[in-house]
Amino acid sequence: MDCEKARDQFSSLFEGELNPLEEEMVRGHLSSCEECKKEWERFGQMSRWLHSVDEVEVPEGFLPEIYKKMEERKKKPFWKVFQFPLMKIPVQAMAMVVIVFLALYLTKMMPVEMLQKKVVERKEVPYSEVEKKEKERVSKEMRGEKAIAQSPLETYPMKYKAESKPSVQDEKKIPSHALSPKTEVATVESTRPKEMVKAEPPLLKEKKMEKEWVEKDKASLAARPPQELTLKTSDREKTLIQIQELIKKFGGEVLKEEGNTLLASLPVFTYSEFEKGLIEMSSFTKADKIMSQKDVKEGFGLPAGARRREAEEKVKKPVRSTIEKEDHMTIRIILIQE
Amino acid sequence: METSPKIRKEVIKSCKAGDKGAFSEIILCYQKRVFNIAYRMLGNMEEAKDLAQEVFLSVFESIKDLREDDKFEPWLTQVTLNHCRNHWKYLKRRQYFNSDSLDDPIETEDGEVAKSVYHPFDNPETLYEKKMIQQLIQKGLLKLKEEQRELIVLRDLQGFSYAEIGELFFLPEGTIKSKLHRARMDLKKILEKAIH
Repeated sequence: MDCEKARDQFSSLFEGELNPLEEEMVRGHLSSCEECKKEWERFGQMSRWLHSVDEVEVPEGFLPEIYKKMEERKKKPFWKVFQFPLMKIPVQAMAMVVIVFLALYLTKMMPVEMLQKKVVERKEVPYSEVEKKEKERVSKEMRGEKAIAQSPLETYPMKYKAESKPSVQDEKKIPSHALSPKTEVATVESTRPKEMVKAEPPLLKEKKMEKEWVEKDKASLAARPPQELTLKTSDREKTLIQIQELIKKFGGEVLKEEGNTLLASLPVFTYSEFEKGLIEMSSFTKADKIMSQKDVKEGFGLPAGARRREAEEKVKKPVRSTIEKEDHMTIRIILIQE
Repeated sequence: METSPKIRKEVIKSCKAGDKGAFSEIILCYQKRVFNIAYRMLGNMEEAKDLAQEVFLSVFESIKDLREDDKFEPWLTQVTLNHCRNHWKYLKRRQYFNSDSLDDPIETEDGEVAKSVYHPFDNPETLYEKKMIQQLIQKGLLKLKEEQRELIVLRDLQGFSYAEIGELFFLPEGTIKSKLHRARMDLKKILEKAIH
């Protein structure tokens, strides 16, 4: 028997579990091997110590403390009732729950985002359509006005005739409450077009009114329909260039120029100055769109094209108001040859 | 080294029904064994006391789940070992045993004595008091692997049979014997290393 095999039998030898033959073989080796004999002695000593270790007495009050702990557990705060099962849940299970919720959250987020994008797209399409319609409408208007402007000599006498029908006496018959200051000016203008250009008092009055109007409702001005100015001129081309220069001077821009009609955008606060400039430049008559409507109602006989235009404007008014810039107003200048 | 007397089946049944008197009887019957296993496994009286109390509280809470009343003792030992394992991990995480070295002076009732002066294997009876040897062994036990410590505590200190230990560890007796022998040899090495 070698040393290793002999040492492997130390426990069995100490506990007396080896059969006589095995015990004899081990003991024979131990008597011949000094090293193993020493090992065996140390092993036996340690084993005896192990077996000699006394049991420790239980500390006093062991049992009452158990009952005390039992009572404490019964009285534990309500939050511990929830905390305890949570603490028992393995971390892996908790992680799984978190992952599942995260996955659900992310997958549910995606369709919502897509929906939001679709909504945005839907919103964009109608806006562009509105813009298109608006452009079409403006071009239609311009075409209609072009038709008027192309034959100013033909249309003007008709208008003039119609406007010149009522006399000054007839004017008096019209109830004062039915006429706004603007309509008064318009009627005077229509009866005496040339004289009115030179006559300052009504123009100043109108100008003052305009100033007040601009000051009071700068914001609402942008939403209003375009101002319509009728300008009588002998040299169309020259006047047109002058008007364009004037618009640029006041920080505005020419939106469209067709025949004798000019559609321009002008900052609201410069309107009065622009108007003054126009007066200085040439003789002109100012006719608000509302005034024209009243003229029609009162039987001054607007051309059929103008009525149609009026009806169109009524329909498209809200659309335009959204497109116009807040601090800009649209002005339509119609040139009429003298 | 002594074994606790077997508890009567009626007491276990009463305890299952929630009888606190029966529970007290169980505690009185097994408290020494549970406490000693805990103490040898952890090496600290206070920790052992708390752990043993926790073991009995767990027993009272879960004894109704015990199907075979005959298996109460192995079941109790298993509960104790499980608590010891969990608590050992808990203490290890908190580096409870890091400063605990066999080279440290051994605490006795008379004060601290540097053990390197003595050689217990040469003449232990005259050089060491019994208490000091026991403390040396306790510290040596704590240096062993957990399973080895369990085997030595159950077999050499608590006197469990190989069959009982085999039942607890779900291993055949032969395997338990060889594992125990290895544990003893390792303890011997640890003690020799500490002494020399």
